[in-house]
Amino acid sequence: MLLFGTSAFDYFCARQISNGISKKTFLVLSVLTNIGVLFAFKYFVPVANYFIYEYNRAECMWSEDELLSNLIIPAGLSFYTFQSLSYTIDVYREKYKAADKFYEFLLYVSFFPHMVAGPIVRYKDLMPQFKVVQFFKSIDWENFAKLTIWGYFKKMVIADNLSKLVTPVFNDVNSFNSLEILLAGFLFVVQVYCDFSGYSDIATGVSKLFGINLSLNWRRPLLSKSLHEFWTRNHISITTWFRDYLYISLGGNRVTYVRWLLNIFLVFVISGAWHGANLTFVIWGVMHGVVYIFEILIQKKWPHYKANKYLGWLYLVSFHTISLIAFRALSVNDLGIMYDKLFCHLSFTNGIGHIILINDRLFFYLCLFLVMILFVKELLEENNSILSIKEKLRPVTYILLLIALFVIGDFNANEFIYFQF
Amino acid sequence: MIKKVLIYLLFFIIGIYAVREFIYIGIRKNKHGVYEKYNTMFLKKNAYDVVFLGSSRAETHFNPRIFDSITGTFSYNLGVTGATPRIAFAVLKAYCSKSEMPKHIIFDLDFHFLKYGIDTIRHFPRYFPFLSNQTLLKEFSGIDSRFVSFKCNPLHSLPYSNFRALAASLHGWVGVTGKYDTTYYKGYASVIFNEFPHIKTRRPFYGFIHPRERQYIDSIINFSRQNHINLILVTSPMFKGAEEEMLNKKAVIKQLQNIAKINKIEYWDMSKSAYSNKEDYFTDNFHMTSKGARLFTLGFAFNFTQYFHRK
Repeated sequence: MLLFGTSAFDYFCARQISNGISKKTFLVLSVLTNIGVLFAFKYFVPVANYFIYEYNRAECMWSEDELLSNLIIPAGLSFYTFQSLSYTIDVYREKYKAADKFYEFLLYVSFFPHMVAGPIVRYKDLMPQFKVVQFFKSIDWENFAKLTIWGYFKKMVIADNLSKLVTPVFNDVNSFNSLEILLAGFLFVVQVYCDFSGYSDIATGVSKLFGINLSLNWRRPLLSKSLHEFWTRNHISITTWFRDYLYISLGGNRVTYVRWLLNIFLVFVISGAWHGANLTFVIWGVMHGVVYIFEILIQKKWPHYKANKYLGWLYLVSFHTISLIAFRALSVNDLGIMYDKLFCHLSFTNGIGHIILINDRLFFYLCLFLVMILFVKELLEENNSILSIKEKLRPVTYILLLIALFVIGDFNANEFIYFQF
Repeated sequence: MIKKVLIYLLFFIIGIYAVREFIYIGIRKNKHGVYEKYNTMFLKKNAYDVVFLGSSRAETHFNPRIFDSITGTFSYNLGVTGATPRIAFAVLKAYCSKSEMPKHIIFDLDFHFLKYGIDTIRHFPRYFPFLSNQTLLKEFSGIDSRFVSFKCNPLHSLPYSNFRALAASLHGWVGVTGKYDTTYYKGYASVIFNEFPHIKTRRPFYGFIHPRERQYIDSIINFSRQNHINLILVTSPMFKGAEEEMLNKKAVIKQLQNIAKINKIEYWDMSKSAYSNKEDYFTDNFHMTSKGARLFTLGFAFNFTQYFHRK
């Protein structure tokens, strides 16, 4: 209902804009409606719950029924809202004309493979494909199989198994030492990447069944050597969305130098806050904003400086780990405890003994092996060495991945992390 | 293209069957732990005099090492987690299909599993490697129809087994023991007190014997009678908190006494005993620690010996 309602409204607004009727008014109406829906679900419910809880506690009338906890955030709300928004803004910017038929626009917004967690595809990229493809006649079976198998492997084998080590650490930060928190942070980096990019791979693979090519969304971000490079490789469609519709709307780089830096900082803070009503997300955004600007300043001061690629990778992975610890922390208090352990009171007692004992020694080593598999594949792809693997051996690899999916995959229907956003 | 896809599919299917066989063989190679127990129960030929039957309460309360040393018998614990009378009966039949008939069955009646009339096979993936026991397959597929598919189709069974099965299999192949494997002895699982340090009173409930569960208690009685096995019904100790948790314990015990009387068999109500007040003998209201189980088995074994002297 929500999807249908907002889509109908955006379709109407775009038609009015395209016809030149009160262009600005309809654009503002569309933007406010979409942002309003997003805001209502992401911030109003948690904030209202907080006040109800505090009020009940003060009045000693605690009752769970009175909380709005039953209101569920629709899966993928952000992603189809962003798609819809990009459409009206592009029509306003006269990049293309508004869709003639409502069902065409609805098809664009609700194309199911990528609807809930991206990639965010622009109208001008998707709609022409819908108009020319002959469904089920030109199916790219090979890429469908490769992408979906690898996507499911990343999600169900790597991400879901790693979550069994990561979740207990973040749920009980007091019980783990500095080294274990750092390790859990790194494993979470891999988990989020596999979870999110796994979905994109599956979505891209399933789209091949309809003859649709979705845009490339991930370009091995964990092999980046700087934060700049990272943001050109990580969830490309959402990064470019923020660039095109937020950063450029703020003035982009056609402003004073200080204002330009401020624009960059604001984009990161807003993208952090977009994740939800928890201060930890904003802290994550602030950290990325600050370090990104820091890299710009370094580049300006020493334009020819080029860091050693291994050091660069180590810097990126370390920073990404530290910042994602903020992202994953359950509260600011927990984050304080973890950062205190990482930066003020380092302790390595028992090494990583507790984290190994969470599940099973063998399970821990299996998780490390899975991380290794991921990095080896990414490195082979990065250096184009994957093409040198004999053609006859490649199917064997995918068959083995598929078997591994059934043997060590987690079939307990863990939802994708980004469904909640 | 179609030919290529079919060849890949064929390789995948052969691969998945081979991997499953590798996992199951490894599991059956375990020399300790729960899988060794299931292997003994369902695949080996045994000749035990006494078997203990029931749910996790039976599994954790009757220690064959102590029982054998007092009574001079040769016993085994067939208790499995979450066993309703129907599941206990299925386990007994599967055991007897491979082994010699025992002389005595000690059936611990768990009040929790008498009232539902619904069978859920707890930890069902643990049984997959042992489905070559046709009686087990027949009985369990009568309870859960998916079991036939679990036996034939690895794409259905493997996702339920998950990493745990692979780990147990590797333990079997390599010949090492897992974390909890050493807590098992002849089917008895000892529970260390510190693992569950809190005894909590849960929501109180009214117990009763569901007609369907009654039917399976009768089946076990008839099975024992037909095979000339001496059956003793028992209710093993409960913590004092169980009195608050189960609101009509006396009434249920009375019903069980009636069943025993009608069928002319023994029913020993040991639910309230000298240890019922001691916290370190229990992990929760219905399960004893290894310390409590040791004392209980000792007392039970003496009762058992005296009963035979009397007889």
